[in-house]
This record gives sequence, C-alpha cells and structure tokens, in this order.
Amino acid sequence: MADRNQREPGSSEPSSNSPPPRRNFLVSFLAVVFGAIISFFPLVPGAAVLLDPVLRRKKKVADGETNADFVRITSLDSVPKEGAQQFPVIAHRHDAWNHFPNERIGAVYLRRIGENQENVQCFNAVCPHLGCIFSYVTSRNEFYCPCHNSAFKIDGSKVESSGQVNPSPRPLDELEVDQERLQQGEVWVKFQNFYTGTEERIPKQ
Amino acid sequence: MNKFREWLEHRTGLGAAMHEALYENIPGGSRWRFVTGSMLVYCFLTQAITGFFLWIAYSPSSQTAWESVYYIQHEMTLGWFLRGIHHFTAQAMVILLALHFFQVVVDGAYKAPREFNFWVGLVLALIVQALALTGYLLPWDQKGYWATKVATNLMSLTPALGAEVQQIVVGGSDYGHFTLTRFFALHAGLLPALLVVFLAIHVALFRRHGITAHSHPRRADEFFWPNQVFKDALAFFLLLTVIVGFTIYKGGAELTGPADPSEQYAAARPEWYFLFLFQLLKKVPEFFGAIVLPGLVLFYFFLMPFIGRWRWGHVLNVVMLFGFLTASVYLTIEAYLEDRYALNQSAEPDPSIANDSQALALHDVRYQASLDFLAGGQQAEREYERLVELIDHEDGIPIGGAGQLQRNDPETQGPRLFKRYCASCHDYYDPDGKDDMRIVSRRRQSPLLDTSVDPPKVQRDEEGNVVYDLSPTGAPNLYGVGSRRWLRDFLSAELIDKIEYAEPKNPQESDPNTFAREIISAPFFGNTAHREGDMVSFVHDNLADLDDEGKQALENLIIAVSAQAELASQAEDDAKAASDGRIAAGVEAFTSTFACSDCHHFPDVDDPAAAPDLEGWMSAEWLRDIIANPSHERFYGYAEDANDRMPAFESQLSEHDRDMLVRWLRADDRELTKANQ
Ligand code: FES
Repeated sequence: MADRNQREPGSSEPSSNSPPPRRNFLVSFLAVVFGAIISFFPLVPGAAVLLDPVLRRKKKVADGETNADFVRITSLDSVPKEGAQQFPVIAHRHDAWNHFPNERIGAVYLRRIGENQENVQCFNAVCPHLGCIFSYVTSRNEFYCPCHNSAFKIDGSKVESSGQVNPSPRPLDELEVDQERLQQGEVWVKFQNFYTGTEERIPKQ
Repeated sequence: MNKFREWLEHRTGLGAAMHEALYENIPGGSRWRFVTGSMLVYCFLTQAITGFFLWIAYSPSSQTAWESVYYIQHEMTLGWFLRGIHHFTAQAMVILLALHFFQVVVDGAYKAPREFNFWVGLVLALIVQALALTGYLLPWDQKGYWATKVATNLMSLTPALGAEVQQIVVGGSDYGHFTLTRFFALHAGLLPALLVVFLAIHVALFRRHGITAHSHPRRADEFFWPNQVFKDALAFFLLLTVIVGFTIYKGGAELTGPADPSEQYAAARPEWYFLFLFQLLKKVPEFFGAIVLPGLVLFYFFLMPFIGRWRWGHVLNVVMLFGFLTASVYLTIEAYLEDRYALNQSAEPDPSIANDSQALALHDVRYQASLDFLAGGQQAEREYERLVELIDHEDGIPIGGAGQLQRNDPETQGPRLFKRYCASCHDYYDPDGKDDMRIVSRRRQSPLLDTSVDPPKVQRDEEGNVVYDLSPTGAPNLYGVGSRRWLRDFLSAELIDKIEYAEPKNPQESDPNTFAREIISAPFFGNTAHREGDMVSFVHDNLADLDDEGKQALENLIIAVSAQAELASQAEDDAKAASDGRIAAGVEAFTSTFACSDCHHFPDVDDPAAAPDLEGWMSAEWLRDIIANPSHERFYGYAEDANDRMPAFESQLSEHDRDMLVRWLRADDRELTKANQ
C-alpha cells in the first residue's frame, strides 16, 4: 500500500492534465480568503487583550471616572511654618487584579502660604522633566531634582538664572487643596499625576 | 518591482522555495483525508499566537497565577474568548493527533523509507501531550492543581530516581511558586521550541519522501496549490467555527476556585484525553498502569515500522492500534459514566440485583462515589460564584491572593468546616427544599444480634419484630438555626423527637446486615439522647394541644426567644416585634404561661440552672461558646451527663474557624453589604 520508491526531492510535475483554468482561479481565490481568515483570526482576541489597558482607560474616561480624588495628606498643624516638607500620599491603589487598601501611591510637598499662613500650597513631588522625585533644599529654600538638575523656586516656578540649564519644560505640578477641610484643620489634596516632559500639564487617567 | 524581486530571489531563494512548497505533486490529486497534518500545523500556530497574548497577561506564582487568569477571564477585553480559543484548540489538537496517527498507520505511511519520520511524529505527539499536561496546571485552580498533582505524584514511581525526578519537575518536595515557574517555562518555552524543531524535521522529511499516495488511474495528479491548500484552509476554517462555537457556548475555558492544598476537591479529574489513564489506574496497580503499560504501548508504536516488514506485520499494527484506541475510548466512556452513575441510577438498587449482595455493595459504593463527585463539582461551582461576588464587592483581590478572600468568608469556609467537623452528627438542609445547599449524612441502625447461636441471628421481640440498636447517632438539623421558623418546628410535638426509617429492602435471615435500616428523617432530638429528656416530654405534655390563646402565647414566646439570636436576616422583624410589645409578651409567656424559667435562664430572670442558658440563645457569641465547650455550666453543664456526645471543639477548631462556622450557620454574611466589608 505504501509508496516505496523514493522520488527525487523537488521533482513535481502533475502527470496528467490540470483542471480547467476558471475553476482553478476560483479555488485559488477561496484558498487565499480562507487562508487569510484562519491566519488572522487568533490575532483578533489577542489584539484586544494587548490593547486592553488603552481600551479600559477610554471606557473610564467615557464613563466620566477620573483618577483624581481628594486624599487626606495630614493635619494643618503638621505643615511647617518655614519652607516645605514632603508627605506621602496614602490611598487605595489598584494594580490589575490586586487592590491595596492603604498604599503609598505617591508623595507631595506642602508649604504654608497666605498672610497668616493659614493656607497651604501643594506640589506633586514628581519632577515634570522625566519623573524623578525632587527634593527640598533648605539652605537655598528651593526645590532641586538630582536627576538632571532641574530647579524650582519655593512657589513652584522654574529657576532660570542660576547659570545652569534647567531642563524642566514647565513649573512644578500644583495640586488643588480642599479649602473647606483646610478650615477644619485637615489637608486634603486632589492627587493626580501628569505626563512628564511636556510643556503643557496633561493629567494621567 | 521586478528588480526587487530578482534581488530578493537571488539572496533568499524565497520564490523558488515557495514554488517548491506550493507545487509539490500529489499523486492521485488533492484529498480531504490529507488535511489532518496541515490542520495540526495550523492548530499549533493558533496556539502559539493565542498563547503569546495570554502570556502578556499571565503571572506565574502561587499568589498571582489564579488571580491573573481570573483577570483575563473576567476583566480584560475579550480575555475569556482568547482563553477559550487556546483551551479548545488544545483539545482539537489532541483529536487531530489521534486521527493523523491513525491515518498514517492505516496507510502504512510508517514503512521504509519513512520510519524516521514516523518516530519524529511520535515524539511530536509526546510533546503535545506534555504541553497539554503543563498547560492544565497554569491557571492554578482546584481542578488543574489536583489533577496535575496526581500526574506528578506518579512520577515519583519512576524506578530508582523517583523522588528526585518529581522534585526536579515540581521544584521542591511540594507544589508552590517553583512548580508554576517551571511548568510555565516548559509550557511556553522549551516545549514549543522543541515542537518547532521536530515539526521542521517532520515536514522536511515529509517533503523528502513525498506523500504516501499512489497515482490513480481515474484521478489526475495535482499540485499542492491550489486544490489541497484550499481543502486544508477550509477544513481548518470549519474546525475554527467549531472551536469558536464551543468557546461561546461554554463562555470560554472553565476556571474553578483557586488551588487550596488543604481543601479536598472531589471533582478533580484530568482533562478528558487523559481520562482513560485515570480510569486504568482504578483497575491496575499504579506502577503498572502509569509506567509499565503506557511504556509498552509506546515501545510498540516505535517498533511499528519494523513489525510492518513482516508478512502480516502491517495488519497486526492496524489491529493493535485499533485495539488501543478502542480500549482508550472504552475506558474514557466508562470513567465518564462512572462519575455520573448517580444521575442515571436511583439510590435504590435495581430489583434484579436484589439478591446479589456483592452487586448491591458495588452499587452502593458507586452511587456514593458518584454523589461525591457531583457534589464536589457543585460545591466548586458555588464557591466560585461566591468568590466572583467577593472580588466585585472588595473591588479587587488582596495581595495575599484570592485564597485569602475565601479563608475569611463564612459562606465559603462554613460548609467546608461543617462537613469536616459537624456533619457526622448534624445535618444541614432546608426543610422546604428551596436552598440547594444540602449536607446530609447517611445514618443507619443495625439490628441487635443474638450471638448465642452460630452463625449469629437477628434478635426479635415477642411479636417477632426485629430489635434494633437504638443508640443515638444524630443531632439536630442546623439549617436556619435561631430563626423563628427553626424554633417553631423545634417546639412542635410532631417534630421535636421525630425519627423516621426506611424499612430494609429484602432482608435475608442468613445475612443480619441486610436488616440494617436507614434513618431518613430526624430533624431535632429524634436521634439524640435528648429524646428521653425533659424538654421533649414538656413539649408533648404542654404544647401539643393549645387553644388559640395558648398558640398566640407560644408564638410570642418563639418571637422573644428567637430575637435573642439577633439574626441579620430577622433584624427588621425583631425591631418591629419589640415595638409591638410582642417580645415583652413573649417574655411574659416564657416566665409565667409556660414557666420555661423554671429550668432555663433568660435575661432578667433568676438563674435556675437546670437547662441551657437562653440568654443570647443562638447569638454569634452563644454559638461560638457552645461549640467551644458544650459541657460548660452555661450549656449542658447543669447535670453530669446532660451533654449528649457533643465534643468540645475548643482544641480542634481555631477561634477564626469557629467564627466562620457560626457566621455561616446564622447566614449573617450571605448578602454582601457595605457594612461587612
Ligand atoms: S527628572 Fe528631574 S530633572 Fe530630569
């Protein structure tokens, strides 16, 4: 039953007449169509899963959900009268399937402002240049980022004059402080992260 | 364009290769039966693609594997579909493999000069099996966990190096993070790579030797392109529709609860294509069934090309293969039916075997095993649904994994603990049969034996009735414990000491065991020592024939006592009864009308200490305490032997477990609300 004579590899000639060309064309066409369908099919759900983070964000935006919530940072008493101080931001965090009830999700700098120092100004502690965490330098009463030497004045604006290049594209990212709660002595901040490296402030969703 | 083509052709020979691939001659023309090989290649490509995309969302560790698969299944866009395609294509691959193999053997395509390619094919088949086995574990769910555990435990039977082999595969002496990382590395790395290599050899050799077919006088030879390509593509397209159909119909691949090494999974079975091996292991010793026999079969397959040279060798090969397939199919069907025995048979054995005690015993064992299997499946399903609810409610999975959610959930832990610690005496079932949670044990009474004669005979009283051993073996049904309904039933003369039997079927004087009778219902004290106690006589003497006023007083009493339980589900009714004055009326009935306070303590009533304390009756705290130590003076400590068989669970059950059990019995957490988050 088996074919015992070994043929030369590549010797491939149909021994007799081929089917008529019209049919041949139709079959070729269908072979290509079905071939394409079965080849591309698994890519469809694959692409959906791959693009899930983007689709998820779009849906969230469409549903009007934002990541910006007011978070309690500390009490007003703990904000120093001089200079600025870093505080952690502790909140619920989602990471794919996991949720973390009380996690550090970022950090902010708080400083007092206003005539009687009754108000508070808040900056996201992430450098607008490329996302390092910057620090507060007491001696110069300035913010300084160790990564690429961006420097900011205490009010968040860029330091332009120090003779050094300041690579930050924009001033520090100021965050909104809840005024009502501030009156009650509590500092709540609308915590948000922004894309780095852009002149404009674009919030991350 | 032509220039570019030429340039490319010169450097790669792509065009010539394509030409050679597509214009392969098929003696006798294209045929449908040649599609299995190409379909297998397509299956593999589909698996590689879907597998890659699953990979980008999968996280192999014992705290994240199940969780990430859950996320793919329930959260990610089309994730369930992707997983379903991967799962069902794997199944299709196993079937196609069998078909392809069968066809190769029947056509004698293993004979010279194709022996080598036949062996390569066998190696490919083994790689596919290994892929299937490793893939089954990756979701780290109960089903995959227990099925794979059996498989790797079999590895420890390998002669000489058993334990070492197993440890290398599992990554330690027991399952854990390393089992997943290793299985994943095999499943997504080494095995597919090997498959590609062997597939390349397989196809190259196939090309070298050509198709095993003959030119046909009435059928023209054809090139591979386009007719055979069309047939291959269409066949795979049709298969794909079936796969998609299954995926949609089943909602993707099944995922059961997260693996729990401490929790038995009665419904653990290997994937259906390994079911024949599983079934075989029920019949023969495991070393023989798992290693010797499959080894011999495989060895025979490898010898097929040599055996095929003999005069009748080819016929023998076909017969052997056919025998092997028939046996596998038979075993698979048998395993399937055995698991579903209880669905097709009633608990009552067929009358035709009524006189065959061996057949009866077998029926019993099978019926019970099948019930266990089915109940295990149901429990798994229920727990899974609950877990989905919990995850939604918590808005995610804690870092400790989904198992942590389950361990702290009374609705999941309660039934598990109840089965383990309570079900030997207590039942749990809805008397109205509406709730499908049902934990009921079989309890039997055996006849007393007259041992003065040989062989011993069944004892009979003067009227000739069989005398049974009546020692109590049960305890109250705890479904809805503490509720008004439960207490109302308890205080009814009909139910409090009810015990009902099924008469023995076809008892035979020669075999006293056949006289054993089953207890089919004893909802409260009927199967306990308390049936002779004061409470039962009180109910019969004082509560059986009440006039309307008495009935009203009893109902008030029931409301008042039940309110002590402070059940979440009854909170509204209790508050209403308190404001209506019915609770006060109930307390009045308790102390004066029925004089319960002669024995029982109740709030604001002196402590008579002649019966269990009813202050906080069936409240969470009361239940936790009685489970910890029922012989405490608050409960059955009022008299020396008032406690009927109930052990003190203080030392056996942790406080956490007692709490889980109690909250489940009280059904306090059945509805997930903000409050108990
Ligand atoms: S990231 Fe801060 S200066 Fe570049």
